[in-house]
Amino acid sequence: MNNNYNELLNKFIDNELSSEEKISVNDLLKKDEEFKSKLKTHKFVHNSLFDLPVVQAPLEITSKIMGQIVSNISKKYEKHYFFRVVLAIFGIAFLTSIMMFVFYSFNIPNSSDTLGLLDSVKPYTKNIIPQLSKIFKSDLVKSIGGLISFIILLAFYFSINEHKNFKERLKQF
Amino acid sequence: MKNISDIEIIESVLKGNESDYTLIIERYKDRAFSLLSNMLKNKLDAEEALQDSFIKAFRSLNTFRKDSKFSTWFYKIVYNTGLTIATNKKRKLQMEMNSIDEIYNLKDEDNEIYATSENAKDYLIKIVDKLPTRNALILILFYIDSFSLKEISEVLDVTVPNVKVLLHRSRNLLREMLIKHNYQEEIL
Repeated sequence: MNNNYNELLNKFIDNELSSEEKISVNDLLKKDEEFKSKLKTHKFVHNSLFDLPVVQAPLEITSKIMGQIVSNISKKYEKHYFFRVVLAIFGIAFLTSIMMFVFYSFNIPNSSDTLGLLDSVKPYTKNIIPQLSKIFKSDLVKSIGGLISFIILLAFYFSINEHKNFKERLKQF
Repeated sequence: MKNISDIEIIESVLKGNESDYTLIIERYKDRAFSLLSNMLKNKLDAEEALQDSFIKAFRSLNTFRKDSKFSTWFYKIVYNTGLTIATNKKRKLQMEMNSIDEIYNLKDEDNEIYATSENAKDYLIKIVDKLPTRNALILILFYIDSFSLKEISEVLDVTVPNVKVLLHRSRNLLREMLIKHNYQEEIL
């Protein structure tokens, strides 16, 4: 009987009674005082539970959480930034060495210092340098060199710009 | 601020406006803290779990499917974080009760709560805190957060019929506790 009551009471609260069950609940309300009392108490429980208190989180919790999130983001960016700087340095060094090589190759006949230096390595570079000079004198190589320089400058600009944006975002916190 | 939906805030955070995440924290911190306080029965542990939950949610924001409800997804993280912290601290959680008789084991505690309660409602609210974890969480999610049975089942990872059984059992128990202490005279 108790289980049957429980089922009816919960269905009543949840508005899930079938038409037959509605009739039996009405009958029980008229005849059975215990059921009537249980129903009122059950309704009281249901209504009171809507007023369960919400426990307030500590006041500084938002800033604590955001602080941790910001420090995690900073670490992530630091890693990426370091990697990019190292790559950029290598890129610039590589490009500079190519440009220097091209520059000196073009000026071999006019520079006595360079000729003196080249004399000592002449046996080794006798065949290589004229060939390389030919290659670097071609318009295609000049264009590629120019393009690479432009790309590196552009990458450098974006890298600085991204860092600037990141600093601004950090300030927002 | 209240008009901005959770999804709109999340989209903004994902676009790079990380500071907008404070809106999510402000919106959910108290209700999530209530849930964790009930689970862990310790304010410091609840605070630790709350921080972990928000940080985990932030890190996983890109995995959140926008066709589902953020609150359900977030509470699932909160519940699992609470369980992890309880396990790490070797705290044993009584997950659910199989019969009303089990709560009567709290005889001394119940008498103390009854003695310090001003009225039926006060007693009821205090006794909810003593219910097994799953029963109490279902009541909190159902009555405070207005979650449907399906949403509760997703958060707690139990079936919908099981959630329904636990909800009914909790209501029955609370009713019987009120009757046991003759509170029905006050109610009627």
